[in-house]
Amino acid sequence: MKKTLWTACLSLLVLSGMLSACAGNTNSNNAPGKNAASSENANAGDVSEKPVAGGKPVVIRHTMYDSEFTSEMVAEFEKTHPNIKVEIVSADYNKLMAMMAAGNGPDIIRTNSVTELPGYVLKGMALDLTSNFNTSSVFKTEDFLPVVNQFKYDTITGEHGSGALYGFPKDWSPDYTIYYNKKMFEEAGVPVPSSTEAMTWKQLVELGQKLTVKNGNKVSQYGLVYFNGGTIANQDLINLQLLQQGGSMYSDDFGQADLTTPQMKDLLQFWVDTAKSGVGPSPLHQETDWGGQLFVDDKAAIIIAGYWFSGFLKTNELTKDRLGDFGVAPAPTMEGGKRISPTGAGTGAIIYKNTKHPKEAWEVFEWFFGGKPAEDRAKAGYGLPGTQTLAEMLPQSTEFDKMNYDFIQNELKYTDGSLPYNPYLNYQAVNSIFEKYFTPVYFDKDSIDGATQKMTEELNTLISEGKQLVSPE
Amino acid sequence: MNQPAQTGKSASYGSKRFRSRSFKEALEFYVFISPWFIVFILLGLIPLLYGLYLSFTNYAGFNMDRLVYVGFDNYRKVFTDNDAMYSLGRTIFFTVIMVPASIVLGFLLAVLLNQNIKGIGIYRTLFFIPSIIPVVAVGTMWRSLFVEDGVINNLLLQLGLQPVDWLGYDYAIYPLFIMLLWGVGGGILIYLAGLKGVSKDLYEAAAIDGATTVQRFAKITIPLVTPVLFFQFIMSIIGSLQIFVQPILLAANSNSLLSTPIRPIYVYSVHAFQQIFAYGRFGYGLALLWVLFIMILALTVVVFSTSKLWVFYEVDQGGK
Amino acid sequence: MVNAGVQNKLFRVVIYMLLVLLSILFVIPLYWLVTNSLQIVGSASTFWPTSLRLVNYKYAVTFIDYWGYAKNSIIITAISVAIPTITSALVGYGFARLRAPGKNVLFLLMLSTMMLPGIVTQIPTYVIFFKLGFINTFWPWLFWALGGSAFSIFLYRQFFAAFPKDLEEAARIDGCSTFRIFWNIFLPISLPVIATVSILAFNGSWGNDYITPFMFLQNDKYPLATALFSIGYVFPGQKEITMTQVQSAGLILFVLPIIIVFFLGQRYLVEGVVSSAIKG
Repeated sequence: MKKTLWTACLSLLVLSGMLSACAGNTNSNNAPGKNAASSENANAGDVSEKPVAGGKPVVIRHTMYDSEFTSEMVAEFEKTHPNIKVEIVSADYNKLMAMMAAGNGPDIIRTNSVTELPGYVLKGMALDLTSNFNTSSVFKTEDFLPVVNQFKYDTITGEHGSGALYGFPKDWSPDYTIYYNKKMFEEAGVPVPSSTEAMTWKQLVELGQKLTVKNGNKVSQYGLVYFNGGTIANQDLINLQLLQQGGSMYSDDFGQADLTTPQMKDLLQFWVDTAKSGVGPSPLHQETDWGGQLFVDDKAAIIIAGYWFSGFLKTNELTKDRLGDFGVAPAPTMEGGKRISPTGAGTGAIIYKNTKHPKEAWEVFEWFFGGKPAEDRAKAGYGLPGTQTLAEMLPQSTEFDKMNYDFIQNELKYTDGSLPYNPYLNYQAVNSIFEKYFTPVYFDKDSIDGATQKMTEELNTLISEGKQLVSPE
Repeated sequence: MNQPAQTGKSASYGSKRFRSRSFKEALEFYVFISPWFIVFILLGLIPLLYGLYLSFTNYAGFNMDRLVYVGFDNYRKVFTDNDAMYSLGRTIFFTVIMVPASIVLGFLLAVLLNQNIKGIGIYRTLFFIPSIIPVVAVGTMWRSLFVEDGVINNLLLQLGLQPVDWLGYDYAIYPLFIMLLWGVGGGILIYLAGLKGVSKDLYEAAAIDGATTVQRFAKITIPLVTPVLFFQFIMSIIGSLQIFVQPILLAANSNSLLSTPIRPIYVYSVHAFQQIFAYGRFGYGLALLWVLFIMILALTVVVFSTSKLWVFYEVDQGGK
Repeated sequence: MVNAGVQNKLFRVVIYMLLVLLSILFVIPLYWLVTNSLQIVGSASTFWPTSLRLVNYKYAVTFIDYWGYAKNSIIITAISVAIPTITSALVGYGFARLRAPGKNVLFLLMLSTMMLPGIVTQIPTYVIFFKLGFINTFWPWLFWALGGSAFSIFLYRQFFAAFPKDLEEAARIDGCSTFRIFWNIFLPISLPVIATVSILAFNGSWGNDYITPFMFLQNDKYPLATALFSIGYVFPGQKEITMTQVQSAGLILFVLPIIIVFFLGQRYLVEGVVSSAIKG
């Protein structure tokens, strides 16, 4: 008995020893007790800050993915910036909130500019970087592509796309372009779409229907799939249609939602008919895999996806040896509407407003988003860069590359546009509302009138809550 | 509240030491439970109270520095929110069916695995597999079983039957039940430990007296494993009222934990989770979870008070 | 008992059939993972294997710092199994065999900690841990372990409460202290419970503890469970698309230790230990 007691105590000691070793690795810059009564370096463009005591390197933490900001890149950066250590902190929204509540927010926050930036600015999370960009030797504002505007938000007019600049994209794509399988078009005897002229949404769906192959009620080949959900009424696609047609689910100041307008109901009806026709996956035609998987498995003829999809086709074993089978076409437009082919994500990052080291954070930011990594990303061809100069460095060595390159240089002309997402609403909240209230419509358990009524009510409740929560900056 | 009981234990030491014996025992009790109690007070209580406080505010994640006290608004909303009440009904529905089903099936499985056959260890391990593999890891598997063109429908077609729209409104509850029942093997360890505690001598004595297998099972096995059955009963109630991951995996986008399950399987915890993560209404979501907590606690207390009637302990546990 | 021989044989056949059939049913998730771990990377998930790509396993351990994360898993699991097995037994014994005012309230309080999902206390806990300097260390797990786990405490309590009174009475007459009774009499005969508690604790920690490490640790300290589910294996350049085949391989390697622990541990569920203790 005594022996077991001793062994137990000994193991505990060993364990505590291991733990202290681990505790020693704690981020020493986040000393507890000196709990951030957040240092007020947070004013627009102010890059001065308290000097670092004792010459210890400053730790900058970011929430980019491991695969985006690799350890090799970190090593490369730290070699030329010995006063800064870069650490990665994976964080979802919940963890981000926890970190901010504790005063331990990360310095660089990964941000989806199209859907998240206005919200972050309103919530007081984003540092104004306008003067940083203007005085930077790395960023040339004249070279910026329109996508960079997605990181601009004007808190006075409430306009997304103008105003102070809060961040920069890592890479992006016009997410609503079309990739298609030439072979399937041949088999169906259907001519392939033009790579410079955009067709309408209606034409696109009709085209998809010609390419849909059914086996009774089962669909063995879809005509049209989407990379981010079923071929159904969805916030992203509808916002694009509204932008092209001129319109929005919300009032001009985003203070009110109204999905019961004739314009909305027409669009929604369009998608309900599309879903019921079985041209793509939907709650009526369920699939296990996402649109891209169906496409590479030759179960879909057309996919709505961005430039990044060409990179996916190049690396995927199922498609990389038959790239000649695929073609690309412009994003569809609304009849009589403006041709706009914007990004749906524009992923990049902002700098946390309450960061304790704005100067060092900017150094990391500038290098990652404007320095060599940006060039490497452009040359790799998985996404478009934020500047015109880099956009010319996209790969064009193979025939497939060249096709995509030519297409993109043309499509870039139409990429200026800001999808009307509501800054007072979480992107996910609107998705949930669509999923909850609109799904029954496909099953004929509710009408479009009924569903839009309920959705409008709930959206308005959320908007007023959201407005009350954000303090005007 | 327990008064020191006048059981045989204390009485046998004489009334002179009566008071000091119970006092000493009470002291020992607190020493024995001190590890849990101390850690709870130091590390568990404050976050709990804080979490409770947050449910009385308009906490939305980013406004920790400017919380507004809203009194019982969030709690009132729980009862006026159609979705909350509906999802509660769904949760109760699934609980009422799953609790007895999982206990009976789990127990029977353990009885089956209680044999001394060669290789029984392998069978036990295989039965336990569903509990080892994290549910989220095989979310796609479930979807691919139940989609329109999935494995099960193809099997039905082979057998000449009609395919079923498993993920649609009319049948969605069945895949959920199957998913939940799949994990009944998780309790086998506990039941086995309980079964092994029943002394073989008792069975032998009963057999000599002419009792049949069924009689021995009913009169010996079951009564003596009631402590373990009680454990599973409580744990099953606590678990079923909180089910949350499986319905989400059956939703359209099984790769996202934020997908909304279809109406018939829209359970309470999913609703609370969505309020917090999708809608950003942390305060309200917490209130929802606290209401659920109260319900689970109340139910547990009720079950506890009945335990005196049907659970056989050697030492009186004084059911509340 | 006439026909005992025939009845017995039929009985055995039925038992075997049931065991085999149910095993097939329960093993399907494992089969799914193995099948998909052998497919070409980038193909759709399926039940029907079409290739035998063992290289996916190599990818699984090289694409991410697999062994680094495994090391973290070992530390966390060691703490979360070894310590609570003992402390929970202590607490469970207290609840089961000792009397005191307020016991029932405390017992319900202990149980109630299982009735609230972690999300309720996560953000406040993060703030407190940050103030204590616990973020990105393993200290939280040590303290939680010292406090025992409500699940294990409850389980021990049920078993200890079912032990005959004679065990204690004999020992008391000999002048044994309560702790000696607990340590020298109750524990040694509780092998099946201890085995059960340890196996379930191992399963809970190694296999299912991925949210708390995600919240309180930084990436290099993640255990395998968190790494597999939050970092995962993504296509180069396509940060949101998972390489499901490699992930399946990674998951197989990940669950292997739990399967082994279970298989070895369940042998300790032996009979008649209690009765022999009484006789002895």
